[in-house]
Amino acid sequence: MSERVFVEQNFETVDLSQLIAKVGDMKAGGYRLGQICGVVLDDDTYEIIYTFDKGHQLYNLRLDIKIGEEVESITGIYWPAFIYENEIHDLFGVQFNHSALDYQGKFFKISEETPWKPKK
Amino acid sequence: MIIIVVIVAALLCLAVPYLLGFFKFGKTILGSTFKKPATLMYPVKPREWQERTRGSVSIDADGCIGCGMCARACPTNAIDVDKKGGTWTIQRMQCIQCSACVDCCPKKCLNMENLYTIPDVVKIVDTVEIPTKAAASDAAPAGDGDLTCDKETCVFCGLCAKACPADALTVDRKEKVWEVDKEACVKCGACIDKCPKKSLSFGGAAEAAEEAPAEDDGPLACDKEVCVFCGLCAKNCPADALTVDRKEKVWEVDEDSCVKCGVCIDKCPKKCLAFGGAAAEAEEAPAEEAPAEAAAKTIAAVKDGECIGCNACVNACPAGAIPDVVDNDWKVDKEKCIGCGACVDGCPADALYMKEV
Amino acid sequence: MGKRTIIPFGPQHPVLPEPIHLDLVLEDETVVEAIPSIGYIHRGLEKLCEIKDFNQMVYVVERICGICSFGHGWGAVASMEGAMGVQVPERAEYLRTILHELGRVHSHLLWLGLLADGFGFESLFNHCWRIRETVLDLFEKNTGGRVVFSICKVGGMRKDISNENLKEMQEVMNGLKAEIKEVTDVFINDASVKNRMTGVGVLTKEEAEELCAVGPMARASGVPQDIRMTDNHGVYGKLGFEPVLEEAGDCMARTVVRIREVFQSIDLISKAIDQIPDGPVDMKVPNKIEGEYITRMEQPRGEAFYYVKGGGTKFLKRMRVRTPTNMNIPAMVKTLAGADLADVPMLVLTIDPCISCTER
Repeated sequence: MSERVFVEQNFETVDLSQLIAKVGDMKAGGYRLGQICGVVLDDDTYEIIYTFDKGHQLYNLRLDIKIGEEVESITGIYWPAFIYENEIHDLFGVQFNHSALDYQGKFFKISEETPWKPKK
Repeated sequence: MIIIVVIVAALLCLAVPYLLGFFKFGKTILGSTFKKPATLMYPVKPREWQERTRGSVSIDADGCIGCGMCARACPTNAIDVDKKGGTWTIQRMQCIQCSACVDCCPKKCLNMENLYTIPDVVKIVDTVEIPTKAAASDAAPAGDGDLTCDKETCVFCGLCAKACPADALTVDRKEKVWEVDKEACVKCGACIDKCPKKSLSFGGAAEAAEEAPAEDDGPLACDKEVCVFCGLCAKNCPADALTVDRKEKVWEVDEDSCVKCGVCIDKCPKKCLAFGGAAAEAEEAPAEEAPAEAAAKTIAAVKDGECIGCNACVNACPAGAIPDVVDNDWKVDKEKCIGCGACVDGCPADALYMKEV
Repeated sequence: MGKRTIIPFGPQHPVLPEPIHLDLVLEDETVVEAIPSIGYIHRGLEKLCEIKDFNQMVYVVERICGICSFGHGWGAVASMEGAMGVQVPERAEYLRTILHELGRVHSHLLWLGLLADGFGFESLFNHCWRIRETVLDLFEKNTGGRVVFSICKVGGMRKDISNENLKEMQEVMNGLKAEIKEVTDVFINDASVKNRMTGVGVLTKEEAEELCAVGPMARASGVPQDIRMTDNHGVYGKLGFEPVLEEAGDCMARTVVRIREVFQSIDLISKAIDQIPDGPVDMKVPNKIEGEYITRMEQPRGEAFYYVKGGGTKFLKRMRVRTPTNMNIPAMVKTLAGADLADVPMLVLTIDPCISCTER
């Protein structure tokens, strides 16, 4: 039986302050934005995972933030990120600053505001 | 006149590519005109179902013991089981025909039928009467009340916990612990069927220590021609009935202690154990041959970067084939390895595996 | 600057059975800007992983999409198996690959039909869907479902497909080639179809890379981007997979890519059935998930992401699915700018949008 080839799990933790510089490096390195995913870690921490792809190799940036912290938008570097940033804003309530296309919480038409934010 | 001709000619010229394009599909259209329709004359001609078509769930009520496994497995909460009231209820419109309930039913009384639920203007709920406990106790050996274990006869082999579909049992052989999670227990009786000592029953009205069933035809025996004396059988024996000494090439069974549960047979890497083999056969040990053969077949190996350097495998290895692990650099002496897999079982990091050489 | 008009497109529009809304800013007949807006049907399926255990989650994820249902089921189990670190038996991997490719044939035929419907070629639409019906029958025979298959589970497949059935599948699919060719030739050669699609909505290779387009959309612009080229997706490595590429980047190129992929998928199915080994199709797996794992699948519509994070129990902490349409919307919006109003339906259709997938 053949051995399974697992997808390489490259995770790198970045600080909030370095995010834009780091994402800029990825862009300069020829990476393509794969996705952005919000994860609730516990009652007051979120994790935002930025996934990049180059030549079918994945590279993930992991950003830990406290609830209420504001994140700089990466739409200036990767324009298509607006979909994910608006999605995370609408579902988790994370504020992204200086977004190139900000729907002001009207991207998803949902009955409850920020339904996936931990209820205290 | 000339103008008209010119216009017509120009139109024709323009139309030619369109006409050609049209005739491209013309053949298909012409063909389909004379073919039979691709659709069925439903409902005059009924649809043929495939054997695997998932349409709706049906229940054989007599077999149901009301364990509720199906209700727990259902991703849409379409099934409700009321054990006390003796009903099994399915909300037909909520069912997604995934057949998860059919797969997990310990009594195999659920079936997947081909036919879909007939559409309706109300949400259909089907309720089926299932035998209640009182009625069931006549038929099954079940008795009523909670699952209990007669600790006098129990050998803490753990076979019941393995058979439990609901993970409700905890057995620790070393600590002589047998516990049941009454919340989780669905009273399916799978553990009772498996128990080698028949120490389990519902409600403690044990027909307890019946002697071990004669499902085998003799005492446990080992084919010493093949045996590598790795000791895995002894390690896994729930009753501590086996003695194995690798150095002395000794394999012995205490027939009074042996509960014939078969765990050793399952665990044996060389498949040299069986019930009823000529036990006292080869007393003389077959020297170095067997281990050498084993080494040629499978040996232990490490996954890159997984080793945590805990040395658990060093202690587990019956053959002393693994030297102390330094700096997570795991090695095995290929000559000494007997391919028993004890190190793989012992590795807390799941870093080891067996590979063919 | 001429007078600007804003025309709302959707959420209910004849070319698209799914709810996406576009505000089209027009100058005369030309679109100068398009602002997409989705979120009409957000279902929160990802959140369900907190109350459904991982085995039940497979059935939930399969229902993200009714067209690439098998791919979503496979993506979910592949990510969970990755987090557990288990390798399913080889026969199961082969069966998954075969069913996934079969799903691609069914999805592309469905899309070709919708496209024909979009430009008003009703008979072509009906013929595409007639052929697709044969594929659905194969699915029903082998998995038990026409659209949602529920045959993937963590650790392998729930049911084996017998070698006789596979051989029959191979014959049926190879026999279908001629019928499909008859229909797809119309797409490629018919003058009215060409007029609607050639040179419309060009997405250059640079733009496709810049806008992170995926799937047939990227491949039609010449970006060699296909997860099936990697060696951790099914058994594609053993089947000698080469991505289908077109250079033009217009609507026609996107159609041609999908047409060629239909034939390629049939060949892959045929090859896989020739090579499939005998053996078990499932294995025992741990009943809890720890750690996290991120993996990708090549769906008919493009690359999809699956991310799982386990908490050491049978419930997942987070399950994330990023579907291909999600990534193609920015590219669609960019190509819309500068297009004629009459071409908007074509442009929206040729990204093969699946809005329900996008919102999960």
